[in-house]
Amino acid sequence: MKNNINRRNFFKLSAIGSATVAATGCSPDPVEELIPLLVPPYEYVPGESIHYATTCQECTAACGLVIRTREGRAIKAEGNPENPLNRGRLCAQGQAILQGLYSPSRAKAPTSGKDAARRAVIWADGQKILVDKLVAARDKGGKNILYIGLPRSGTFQTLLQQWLQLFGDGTAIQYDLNPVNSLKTANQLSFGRKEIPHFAMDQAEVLLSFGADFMESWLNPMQLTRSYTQMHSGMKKSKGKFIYVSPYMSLTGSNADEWVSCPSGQEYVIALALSRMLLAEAAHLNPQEKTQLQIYLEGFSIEKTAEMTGISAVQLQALAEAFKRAGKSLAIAGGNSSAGKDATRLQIAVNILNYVAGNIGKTVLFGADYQLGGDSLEQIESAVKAMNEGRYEVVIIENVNPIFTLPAESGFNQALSKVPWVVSFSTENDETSALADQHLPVSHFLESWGDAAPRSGLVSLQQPTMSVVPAFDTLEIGDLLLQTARLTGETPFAAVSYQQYLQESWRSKHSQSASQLDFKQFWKQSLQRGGVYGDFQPAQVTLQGGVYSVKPEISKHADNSLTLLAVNSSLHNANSRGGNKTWLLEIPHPITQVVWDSWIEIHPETAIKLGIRHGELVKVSTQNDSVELAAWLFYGLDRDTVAIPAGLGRKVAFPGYRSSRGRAKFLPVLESAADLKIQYKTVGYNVMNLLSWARDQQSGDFAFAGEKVTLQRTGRKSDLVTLDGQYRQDIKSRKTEDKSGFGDRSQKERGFVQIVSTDGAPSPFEAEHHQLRKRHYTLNRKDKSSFYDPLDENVRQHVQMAGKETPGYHDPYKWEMIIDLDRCTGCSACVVACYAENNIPLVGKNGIAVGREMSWLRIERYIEYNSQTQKPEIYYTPEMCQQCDNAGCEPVCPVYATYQTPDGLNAMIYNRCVGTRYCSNNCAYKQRRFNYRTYQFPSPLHMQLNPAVSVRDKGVMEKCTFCQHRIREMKDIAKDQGRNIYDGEIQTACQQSCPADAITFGNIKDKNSRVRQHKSTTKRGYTQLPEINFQPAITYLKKVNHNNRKA
Amino acid sequence: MSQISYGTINDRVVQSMEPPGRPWLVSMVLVLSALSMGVFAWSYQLRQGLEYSGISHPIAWGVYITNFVFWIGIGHAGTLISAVLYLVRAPFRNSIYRASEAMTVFAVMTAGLFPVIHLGRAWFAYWLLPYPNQRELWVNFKSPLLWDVFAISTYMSVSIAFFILGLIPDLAAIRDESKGPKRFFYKMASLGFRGTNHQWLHYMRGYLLFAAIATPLVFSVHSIVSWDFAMASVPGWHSTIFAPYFVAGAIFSGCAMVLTIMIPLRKAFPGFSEIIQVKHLESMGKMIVFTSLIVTYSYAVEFFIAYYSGARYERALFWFRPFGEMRVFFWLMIFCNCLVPLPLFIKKFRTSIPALFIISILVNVGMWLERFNIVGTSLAHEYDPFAWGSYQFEWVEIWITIGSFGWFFMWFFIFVKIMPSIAVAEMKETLPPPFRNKR
Repeated sequence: MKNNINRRNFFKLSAIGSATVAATGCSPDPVEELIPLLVPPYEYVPGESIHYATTCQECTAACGLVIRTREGRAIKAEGNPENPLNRGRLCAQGQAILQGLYSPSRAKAPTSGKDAARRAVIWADGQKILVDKLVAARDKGGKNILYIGLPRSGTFQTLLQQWLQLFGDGTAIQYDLNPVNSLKTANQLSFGRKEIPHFAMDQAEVLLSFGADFMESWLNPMQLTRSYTQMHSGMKKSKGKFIYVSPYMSLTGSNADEWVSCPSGQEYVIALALSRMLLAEAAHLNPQEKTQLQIYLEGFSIEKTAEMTGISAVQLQALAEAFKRAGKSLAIAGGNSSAGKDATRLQIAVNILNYVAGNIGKTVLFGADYQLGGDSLEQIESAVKAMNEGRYEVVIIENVNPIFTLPAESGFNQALSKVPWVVSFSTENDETSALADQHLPVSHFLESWGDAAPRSGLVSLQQPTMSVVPAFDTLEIGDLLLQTARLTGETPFAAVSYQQYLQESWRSKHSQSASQLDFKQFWKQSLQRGGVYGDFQPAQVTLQGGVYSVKPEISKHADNSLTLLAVNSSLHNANSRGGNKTWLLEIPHPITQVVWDSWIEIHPETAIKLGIRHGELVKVSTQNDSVELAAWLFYGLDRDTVAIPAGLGRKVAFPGYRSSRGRAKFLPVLESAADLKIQYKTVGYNVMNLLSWARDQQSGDFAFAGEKVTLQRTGRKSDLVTLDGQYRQDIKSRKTEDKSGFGDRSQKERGFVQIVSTDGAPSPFEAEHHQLRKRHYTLNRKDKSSFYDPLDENVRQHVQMAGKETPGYHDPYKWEMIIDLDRCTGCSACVVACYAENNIPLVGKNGIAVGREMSWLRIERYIEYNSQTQKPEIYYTPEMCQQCDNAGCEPVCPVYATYQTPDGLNAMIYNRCVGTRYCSNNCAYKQRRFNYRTYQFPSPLHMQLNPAVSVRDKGVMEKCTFCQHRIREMKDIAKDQGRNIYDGEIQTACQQSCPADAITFGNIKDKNSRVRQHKSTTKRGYTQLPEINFQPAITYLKKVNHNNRKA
Repeated sequence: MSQISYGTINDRVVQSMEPPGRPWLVSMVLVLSALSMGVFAWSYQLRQGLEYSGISHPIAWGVYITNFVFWIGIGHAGTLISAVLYLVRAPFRNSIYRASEAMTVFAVMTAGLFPVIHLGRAWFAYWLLPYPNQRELWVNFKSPLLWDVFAISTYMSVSIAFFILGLIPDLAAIRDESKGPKRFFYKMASLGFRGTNHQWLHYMRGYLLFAAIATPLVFSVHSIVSWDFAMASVPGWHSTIFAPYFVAGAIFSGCAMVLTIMIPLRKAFPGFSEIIQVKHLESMGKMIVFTSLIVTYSYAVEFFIAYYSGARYERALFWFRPFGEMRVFFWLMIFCNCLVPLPLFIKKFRTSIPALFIISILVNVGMWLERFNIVGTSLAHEYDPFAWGSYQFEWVEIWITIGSFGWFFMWFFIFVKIMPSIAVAEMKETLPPPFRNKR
């Protein structure tokens, strides 16, 4: 021992020591290199991020992505600003793709064998087994391979077809549950074009949505939200109006100016009734069309409709009046809540409505041909039949999860068990791959080549943004197909890799494009820009006779039984790809604020009738299953409807933190290192178990609405956890019969959300003798010039102070922010972005139950009661550290761990923090988060951590930093170039993700910056809690309502 | 009093310091096991973080700060009795002041632990001290927490010095009664006090001076502790009444704790029952009922001001306290602090030892709840309704609280065995001087 430590050994040991500490903390993982590349590519500089443009495959919208990588690892997903679909924005689910890339549930290597006999194989063997099976199948006569995979609109389909041909042909099904086929089918019948058109919301003045939750899951939420914002935020001459007609309000409906509740399945009656009312004045229709439509719409009189739907005749007339805008209105329909057995019928009704209102060709543009959704589920139905008949020898399932996402009644599970050889190509170990005879995991799409053609005239490229995640042995899907083809010895493919194949197929795109560049440069440019972005040619359409073939039927909701809706949210959808992503579980559902759980939404009146109280467990039964779920009373449903979120109920990998929840508080709860290992737990409940295998008759869309359900009171408390601080009072409140049917969830007139209205009607909030009341509403004049309030005194003073010419503490930068509440939809994309960017730990359900949530940014949801309309209204406000000039947190810290930087930020020095938590107490906005323990980032999720942001240890306070590291990065670049930072050069993570462009960030000292311009001119600005005089750097812009009304 | 003489006082005090018997040992085992619960819980908390304490968002201060204020409050009575009542020449203080002073010292020692226990990173507690360092890091003198550091350390050093000063003649008396190594110990401890006129002259001057120094501290310490709250912008904390309100509350709880300790002490050492007379305890009872009225008045004023100011957040909070989800704590507090002491207006209760004992225990409970109400409910119901919360007690903080009582009583138990728990010299002052011819 005595001679063991020489100079060499000392250096070795210290290197190992520091590497271990830096890379793995104190865990017993093997030593990893800090920098994974021994000979880095020329562009690689440690510490600098590299961005790669690619295409998102999380849903079929195929938004453009820019993936930020550091040290060879993808750490953040952002939207591609060049892509016309999402224009640089990215939704919550899109942000969470990184948790799919680094998912602990990812399959590590190919395996073969079923259940207990499953063993790891090397790729060569795995491919050999597969090819043998496929060749054997071909020899049995061909046409006996079934391929169920992700919908992909690009080159991959060609490759797949060729590949299937090689093995004697088979069936390929693109599997997706989003109900959009009804839209295509209806357009085929109505206009002779089986396509998804472009909905130009920005061109409309009135938007009428029949259940289409375009802010959450319908079509491309990023594109449509942006388009909607252009219409609704008053960027144009007038502020557009948005009316939502649906049995379920949803996030989208909660943002509407008016929500019209209708019985489930009756939307089309309303659409047709409106058409009938508009028909008389539709001058653009030819007489023949008019007569035909008159006959068709005969039965839909106002009185009849009013009787059917329970919507008053006055209201129907008002709707028709609002919609009459000579081609400047738009009606849309879709979404889970209206996807019943009559989904196509509704789409046709909406097509007629648009046609009668003259919107076709103006706000509804055909020719775009959006490639959204998958094949009709009738194909699954026939595949199940064929599997039962033994027609398929090999079934390949790639990255879709039909076992989990189809209801049991579909018989898919039993049918699959009859197939001799089931192969899973899925990246993750999911419920379906567990049943496979062989699992050949393909790489995540962030590690693979590919392309997509989401719309005509638009092709986007998908490139690997990083090498395969370390310790995972996977193959790109394209390469897998090419390699297996080569194994047969008779490959039709010249390409060695899918990259080459893709490049070859892009040669035709090059020749089609008007590009002046040679192919190599064209390819390079496309890679850099993420694709080729052209426009589509709008096509003229007229109403076809086919529309009349779908006879309108009026059938009233027969009995008073309850109808179940399986609804999507901005965080989860029925495809359930987000159901095991912990970010999407930790972040509260925007309306209910529930985390890590499923729940059932019930109308308060229905609940009172059944004796169910808020937060209690309810026994929910259908003919297929029964389950106990927590009741969440909410007026945002039709009385005869209940809603359960779709996409939950998956097994989630999460560290097994011990909790004293539900135990005797006096006895110790001791946690060992073993407890911190990943444990797989089912989170929530899979609503598909309750549903029947029902589909829309014409299009085969899955019927998410329409299942009959019975509720039974259990009287037991649920362990529902919400982030809403008023929830506990709600469930404790003795009376369910108060004004809104549940507890008071308003902001108690504290001015977090402030409202103006477009006309001079009085405030919607109850007048109370109090001076603070003034801040909550203002009377507005009809006169345009004084549309808004005079500039808020606080904001004005603030801007004056900030803009002082004398050199001061803050030169040359003082970072400030504007949040426009009129634009914010509450979709929570910013929250996910914040979690991803800032290494915010996840605490789990038990953690949140005891107030340990770590979110730096939260969307607060308030339900205000409007005394004028006698209705509750929903408001959202994003709340983050306000970076106060006169902050409460700073003076109380005894060790200066938090202080004011020269940039005007409240810096937080983690290393200096001793954890007195006084700053948290003294923060009026309650934006500080304390690390109650050292939280885990279970492998391989730790690879997603942003190296520019410290990972905080136990005992340290943290909070929003205005993405200080992004500011730092840009400051360094600007300094190198000898200039100041340009406006807009820095985007905070939340701002970057916001599809509605609600967040503006910049330097208030810069006279030309957007934030300065905006703050000094807006008349909607206000700061929150101004009487405390913390002088926050965030100015909120008031929500603007139509006529003091809102959904 | 007639049968008590200088000699009997000496004898009884020496008796109380005899080697411990079975009851003492059994109690000490109990006390030490309570302490070890606390030590275990704290070590677990150091390893694990504050995960298993009930502190949460938004209630970032909980049981630990409650305990801190509680113990600091208890630490008030001793100096009040020894210094303030000495200055105002209140004779009833003499029999009880020594034990009360010991109680003060130990209570402050206990209280001093809690700011450290409650830290997220307790191992960096020394960063709160302004020591010169290479990195030129300094502390924030604007922070009330830093004022606490100075207030408490000043109070602790002065009360310890005062305590020791008062002990000197008594230790000398014990020295004279003891033999062997024990004698050597007391000889060293009594600093060569021989009871000469010269020494007495200087001693009494010094004692008076210390009493004068200690008196303002009695008021300043708890005022400063109250400013931990009053300086913050939290509704329910941000109030100018806090300093007097806290001082009154501290005296209230301190006097109750004196009774809680004196009554069993009197029981444990039957010789003391003639020295610590019922009329002394009765005086403490009067103090309790008086301070109880002040505290009750403060509660009422808080509510009135919340109403009268019209401040929305204050009003909401003061509605939340009695009627919100944490109302149990409020009503228990009102019961213990405002109603329970009222019987002390009646002489019969004031002079009944069991009644005094029960009342003193309940007042202690009530005062703990008062601090919890201030810390917990205010934070639970702040400005942002979305960030309202509730408190759930967790095992670590419960165990640490039990441990703090263990820590306190451990010192007290040691104290009664090694130090005179009755002020021998000052008791003698109250007796008629012994004349040789009369004996």
